[in-house]
Amino acid sequence: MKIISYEAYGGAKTNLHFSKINFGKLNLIVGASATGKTRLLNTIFNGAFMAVQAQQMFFGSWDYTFEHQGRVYQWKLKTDKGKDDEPRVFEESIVIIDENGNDTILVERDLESFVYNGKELPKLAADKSSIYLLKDEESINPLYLGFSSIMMRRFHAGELENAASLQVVPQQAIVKIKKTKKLDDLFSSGLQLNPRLYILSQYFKDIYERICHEFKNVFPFVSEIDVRMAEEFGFQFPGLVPVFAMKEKFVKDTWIPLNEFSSGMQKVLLIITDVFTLPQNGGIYLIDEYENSLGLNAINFFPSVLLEDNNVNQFIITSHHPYIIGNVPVKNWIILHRKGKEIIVKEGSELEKKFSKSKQQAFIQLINDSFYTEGIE
Amino acid sequence: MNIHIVVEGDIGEKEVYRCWVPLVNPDLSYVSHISDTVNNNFSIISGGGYPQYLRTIVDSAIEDVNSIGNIDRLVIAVDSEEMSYDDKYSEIRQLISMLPCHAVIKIVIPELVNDFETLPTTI
Repeated sequence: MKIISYEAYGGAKTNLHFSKINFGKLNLIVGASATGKTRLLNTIFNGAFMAVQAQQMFFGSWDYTFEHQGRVYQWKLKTDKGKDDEPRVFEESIVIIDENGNDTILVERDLESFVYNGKELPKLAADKSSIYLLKDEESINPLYLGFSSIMMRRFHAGELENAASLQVVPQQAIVKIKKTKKLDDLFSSGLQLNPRLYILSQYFKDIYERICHEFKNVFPFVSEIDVRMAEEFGFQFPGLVPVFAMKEKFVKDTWIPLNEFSSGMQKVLLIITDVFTLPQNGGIYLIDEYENSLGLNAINFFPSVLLEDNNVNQFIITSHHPYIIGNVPVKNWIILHRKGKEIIVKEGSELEKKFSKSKQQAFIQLINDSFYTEGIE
Repeated sequence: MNIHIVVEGDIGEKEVYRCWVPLVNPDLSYVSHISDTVNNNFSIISGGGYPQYLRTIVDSAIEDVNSIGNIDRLVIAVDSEEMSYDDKYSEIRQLISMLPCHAVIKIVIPELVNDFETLPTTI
């Protein structure tokens, strides 16, 4: 799945309005602090969450135009307070847009009616999106799968600690992956890093080797990498509990388990593993300020991983870091500017021509551009 | 007369020069990018408070002045920080000595008396 354009109102804790944003394969969201970068990612993810989960609704409106498996769809959703003050679907529509721009309506829904493929449906739960409710329908299932391919990493509130924690590998996950040999099943398993790397080392050796290779490239002092078992490190668990571990060149004969890696090494390993295990039809990876509290060696690998990735995945990332901004082409930037609750967007392609007339680094020109520096009005 | 100004600091320094230059010379009007310079304009490029960028910014500013062709004066305005005026002046002179510039280069080093950055945090 790839998001082609996106517009939202609300959708996260504050009622910001994000004007229409056109996305490409690689999108670097930049802007002064408090212009809404993190909230943009949150709204994109929250909308997708409502498409594939029934656990929680959010207040706001979302308008996604996206491509999945060669088809272009538009999904619009508007929620508002129901009788119990909880968010309910007020308006929703799904259309297929063909190459000539003609629409075919799949779903049209409001408080009074719910029409699917031209037929009125009986009243269905107003606290669930139509994509979730109709996910088993042939024409809706691709949308469900598309929105299931979005992953977000925020790197705060203990997320990294969780990702590196020990976890029993569920037997049913192994049985399923052994049978299907599908990487997508690993993506949707929701497993943490240790069991994911174990499964990769057992059933997707090529990908495991590539991850190890990239990791060693970033940290050349790593001499050996292996997936060991928790008992070796003194942990006793019932079941299979793998531990990704490394040896360092100058600390020989000591396996260091993943939970004892530096936070930079954990982040790098997590991102490399995420990127290499995104769904094969294309996933969307959202990352918020990856660079926070990291050293340069752990930051520098990132742009090349993004730029060298295959063509099917989409990346939407935020950054303040000069190296990351400077190494992502200007045309891939999306600059945010906030006037009260209105978020106005400038695409990098609008700056490309002007910036090419100066020899100053693109990052330097960005921090001299008034749209960026006067980011909040 | 067209001027291009290089400043080292963050937003504040750029804003000061943007307001101050037209007060000193009312004929000059600000343009946001050096490539927009036409006649009686001045532009400012700031290092955004990243001192490690000074060298590359100055080098690139000289290249820009030479390629754009209608800039008469390049002003390099940097704080002396812990250095004396003379030491800082020599450092900047050395920095630009290797690069021929078509415009006249002026170096401005404001003397730090007690700026807001060095004020004590308690009184």
